[in-house]
Amino acid sequence: MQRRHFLRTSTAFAVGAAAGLRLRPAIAQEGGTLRLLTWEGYADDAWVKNFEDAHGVQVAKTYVGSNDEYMAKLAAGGGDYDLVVIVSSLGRRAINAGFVEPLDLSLIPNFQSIYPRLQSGGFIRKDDQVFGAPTFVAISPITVNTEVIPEGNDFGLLFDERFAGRIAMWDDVSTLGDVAAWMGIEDVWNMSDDQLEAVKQKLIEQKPMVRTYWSQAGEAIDLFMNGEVVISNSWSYITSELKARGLPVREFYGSPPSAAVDSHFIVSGTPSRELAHAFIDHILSPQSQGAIAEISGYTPSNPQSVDFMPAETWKTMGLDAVGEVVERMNIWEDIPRRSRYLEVLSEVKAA
Amino acid sequence: MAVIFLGPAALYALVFLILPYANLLAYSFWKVENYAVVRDFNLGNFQRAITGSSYLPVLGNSLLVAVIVTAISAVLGYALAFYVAFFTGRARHTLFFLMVIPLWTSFLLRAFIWRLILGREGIINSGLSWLGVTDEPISVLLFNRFSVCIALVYVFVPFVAIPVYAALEKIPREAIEASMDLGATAATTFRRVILPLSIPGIVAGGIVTFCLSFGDFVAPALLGGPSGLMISSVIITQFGSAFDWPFGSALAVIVIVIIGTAVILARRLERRHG
Repeated sequence: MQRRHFLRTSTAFAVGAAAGLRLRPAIAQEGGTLRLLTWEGYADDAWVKNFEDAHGVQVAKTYVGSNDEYMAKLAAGGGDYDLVVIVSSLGRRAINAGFVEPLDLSLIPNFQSIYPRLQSGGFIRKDDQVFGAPTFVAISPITVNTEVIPEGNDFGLLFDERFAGRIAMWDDVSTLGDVAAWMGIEDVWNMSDDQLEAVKQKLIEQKPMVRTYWSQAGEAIDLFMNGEVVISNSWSYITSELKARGLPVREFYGSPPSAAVDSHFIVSGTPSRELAHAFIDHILSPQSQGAIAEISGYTPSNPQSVDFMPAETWKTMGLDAVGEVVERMNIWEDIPRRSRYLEVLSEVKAA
Repeated sequence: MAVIFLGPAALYALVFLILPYANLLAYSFWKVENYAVVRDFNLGNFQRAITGSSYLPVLGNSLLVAVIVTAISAVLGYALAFYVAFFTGRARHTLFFLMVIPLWTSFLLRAFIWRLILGREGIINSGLSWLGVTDEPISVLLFNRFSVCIALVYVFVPFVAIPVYAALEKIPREAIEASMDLGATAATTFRRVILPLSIPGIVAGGIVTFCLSFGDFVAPALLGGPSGLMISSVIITQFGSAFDWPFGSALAVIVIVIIGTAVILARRLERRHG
């Protein structure tokens, strides 16, 4: 009985699947499908569903687990996707490799309302052409335990003897950029050998005070929760997660901080060029950006979103100050000598 | 019949052993240019591994940790197996069973648990503070070579104890009795009869412990702190964020050579004394 039931349902399923396969091209012609390669959380129904309804299309989302993953998919041809989200440190590489095609900004009026600094970012541009639309901003803060460090907003607290043994650092090239910026180095992603050496020496000097280096957000959260550390350069996600778990923490920005910017790019040769442009304009709109801030907690790239999120959200995210931070932050760019940067991190740990 | 049985085995060896190693070796002589692997034979990766200021110290640290962990695990594992085999009577099988149980849990979990034991708010520090022994938590327990070695020893003691126990079990009790009957002391019997017959067990357990602790990634990442960098972490970085598969392959080849040499030396030792 059970077996027969199983056979019947599985047969029905197989027939249905076959029918579905046959129907798919028909649907595509009618309304169309937009195939989006992105991170989970970047394509919430709150700002995707209304686009689907307005255009009578389906947005097919594929989630990635790492930056390498979408680059590998694009390198393998990318023909399965119309739109892709690329982080600022890989934008130039994707453009140069021909993975993505230039945008027609006349189809994206909302592009003009995002922060001017982001509009002019080198990670979305080549030869006066714009290839990407900056959508999400992630500024790297310094997270501190307010019980132990109630005051002070200086990056130098990470090098303060008073907190020796209770300092953590993110095990990432971004940390080199943070420290370099604090030391007054300008072009932090293009350091000379001497500059890299100076940063390395600074980190070696700091090492006896460092409890540990972490690489996953979960690890950092654990270190704070277990009282192992009281300060670390970090992610906003970590601060908010710690707050949610009841730990007294606050965050502030370095001088200037590093920031990753994720942008939507159109995959070269897409058959849905117009629809892809429409989606980009939609996700840059003040309405979508307000929903993004409210629901996902990512810093919006469009300041006009202020009118489309609760005043409380704007305030807790400190978005009044972000406008000024965006102007001076060090956006992650392609690091031409990336392997040397990583080597410096190893050398610090091996010293 | 032979084809049915050996065919899949040969296929397995080809797909999962021969081809991957050949691939690794080939990659180690290639290089990366503009984020693409260039199949251009060169020795640059090996030169960089030897001349770069961080790689030899990291290899040295891995070697040191592996030697410490192997030595301590061998002594403790042997003592444990000896105790269980000869001094526990009918509880022997139960104890052996208890020794095996930890191997059922994830290695990651067994390493991670040491954070909860050795941490500032961990079991040891809480206990000492409760007893009034310390005012401030002792921080040197965690995030250094010490904590990495403790966790690895804890993980690998059964790896030594199990083969040693198997070797001790196989020693005919008559041989031990004969030795004692002929007037040898307990110490001499141990040295001349039991130890030589159990050397294959020590070598087998020791080799496994050495290889796995040399190449371990989890314990140094979780417990090593700022100075505990070991070679596996560096290799993983090459295949991940550095996007330098050829260099990562070269480092892996070096690790294979070091471990291979150690295994050959151990086998020789075993032949001479076993």
